[in-house]
Amino acid sequence: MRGSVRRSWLIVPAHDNDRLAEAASSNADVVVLDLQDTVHDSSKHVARDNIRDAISDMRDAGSEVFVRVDIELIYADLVASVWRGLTGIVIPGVTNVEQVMDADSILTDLESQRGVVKPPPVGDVREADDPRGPEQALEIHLSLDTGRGNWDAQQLIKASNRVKSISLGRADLVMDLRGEPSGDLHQMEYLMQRLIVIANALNVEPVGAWWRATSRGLVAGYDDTLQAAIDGRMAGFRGGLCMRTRQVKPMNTGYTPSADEVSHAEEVVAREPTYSPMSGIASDLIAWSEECQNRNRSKSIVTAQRNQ
Amino acid sequence: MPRPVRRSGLTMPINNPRFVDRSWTRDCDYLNFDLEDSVPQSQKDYARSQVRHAIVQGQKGAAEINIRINCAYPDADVPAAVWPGVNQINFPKAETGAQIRHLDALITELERVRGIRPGTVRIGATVETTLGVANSYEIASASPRIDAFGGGTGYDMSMDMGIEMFVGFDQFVYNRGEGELIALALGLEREGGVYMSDTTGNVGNAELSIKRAEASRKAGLRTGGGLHPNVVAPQNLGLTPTVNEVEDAHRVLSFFADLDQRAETEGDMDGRIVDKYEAAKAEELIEWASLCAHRDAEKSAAREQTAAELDEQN
Repeated sequence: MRGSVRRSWLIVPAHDNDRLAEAASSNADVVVLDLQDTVHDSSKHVARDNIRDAISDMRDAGSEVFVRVDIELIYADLVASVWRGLTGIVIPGVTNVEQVMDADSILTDLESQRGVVKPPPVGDVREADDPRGPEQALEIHLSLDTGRGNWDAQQLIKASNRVKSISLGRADLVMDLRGEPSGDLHQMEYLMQRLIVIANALNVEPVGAWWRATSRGLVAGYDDTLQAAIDGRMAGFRGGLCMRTRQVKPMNTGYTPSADEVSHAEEVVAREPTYSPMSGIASDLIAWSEECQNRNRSKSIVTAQRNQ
Repeated sequence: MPRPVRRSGLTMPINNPRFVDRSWTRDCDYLNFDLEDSVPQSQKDYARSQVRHAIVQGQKGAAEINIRINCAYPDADVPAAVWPGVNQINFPKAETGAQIRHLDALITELERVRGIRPGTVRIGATVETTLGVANSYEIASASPRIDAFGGGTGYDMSMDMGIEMFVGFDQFVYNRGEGELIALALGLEREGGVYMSDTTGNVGNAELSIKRAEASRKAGLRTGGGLHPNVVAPQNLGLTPTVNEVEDAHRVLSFFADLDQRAETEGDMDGRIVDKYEAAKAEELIEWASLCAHRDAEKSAAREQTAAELDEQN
């Protein structure tokens, strides 16, 4: 599936005003306002209270906005989250079809009650209140971080038309998959490849990065994040999740084809017949590169408007 | 029921008294007395008659008793295998859920007839063929007696796939992944180990065994087993958390408790991020270490008692 350019998905605790301010200037393609793991139970209400303004702030900063909900508290979390500017929600820990259908149903009610539709791409001139079509339904991203969720990935994706992307989320932590002497996380190669195959088969976007055991994934440093993004792109991902603003730049960089890669692809296109797979792959890379550049320009325009 | 400790286990032909009568001295967490591949067809009847003797021998060292039956004739093997003292019936070359359901029914009836508490005898379903890999989920979920599951590897799997073993890279990536994911999905103990290059096929390689066991422990795996006595001690040692690891786990728990009290969800402990997942890992490790220590004491006491009884007899 090819949709928006979403190279970096920055998860930020929604109760933490400092982190929210950092996120607004992070240049992330997507900001995921978190109501789940990074928010202590005693701070959930503060986080929910912050969501509406934070959606607006992140949108003004050129990012698409998702909210990561706590599956046990999903109703209250969605009531706090479905406001103008929201693109979708991230559901972690999903283990059965009913959970996805329940989320879909709550979203439908809230969209109707509040007149909320998925906003157009950042920088797009379309009005958000154009007549509502299926493409304007708020999205669901499934974070398949449990064994059960991974095993039943196909059924879970098919449970709602809103599901547009999937990831392993914090599967290594949730499933307790630790490092091997090779430097790889136990079973993560298998799980990542399985996720990519299923996502492509069902026309949803696989989100993730090729983390190594030593890099501590979503909180890794610059170099590890860059390598995970480059390897992730080679493996079939187009963007990955992260939890530190320092990771946004290497995510955006790693998921954008380099100038050398684009130049090489252009040579291949010029040399190979159009029907050859090599030409097709090279054309896709060039197109993706252009989409990435367009996304960068859109963000610049939006942030320039904000600063005027 | 507490989590079983199955770090080490030896598979041996039940018709060979030289192996069976010394099995209690091996310090195995479990013993897998074989009616299958290591027993020639001409010896199968005799092998079936040896189960009760093997149970007595194995229990002298407090090992859990497993009996591996033949997948082709469970109706002949299971009545010979299910007796008080048997913990698990191992079903090799499992290919369908129906096989496991049939086995479950046989065991259920024998538990009733022989006065064994219902549900006592577990099933170990071993996948060793490509059909078994394809039907893994159906197999693993076919009976509540199955409490552990892993992907198909080994000699029979290689033969069925038509590939050489011991080529120096992991030929069973898919099988391992599929088996472990199914175990995770069903909440079962994950069986198997971290792949380590081995081009010799030496089943008694203690050095490789300790490396593999340590890597498996660090990757979160907890079970082992083998064919040669040389690998038992390395597996017991390698799959048991070290004193330093247990101390570190206590520090993580203490650090996380402080975080939680401050209404924080994560913090930096000596350059490491600690959160609820790290705390859960630490809890698991501490509990596992305690179970291992208990198991070691149990086996040691049994062996000492048996040795003392033998001394008295002599």
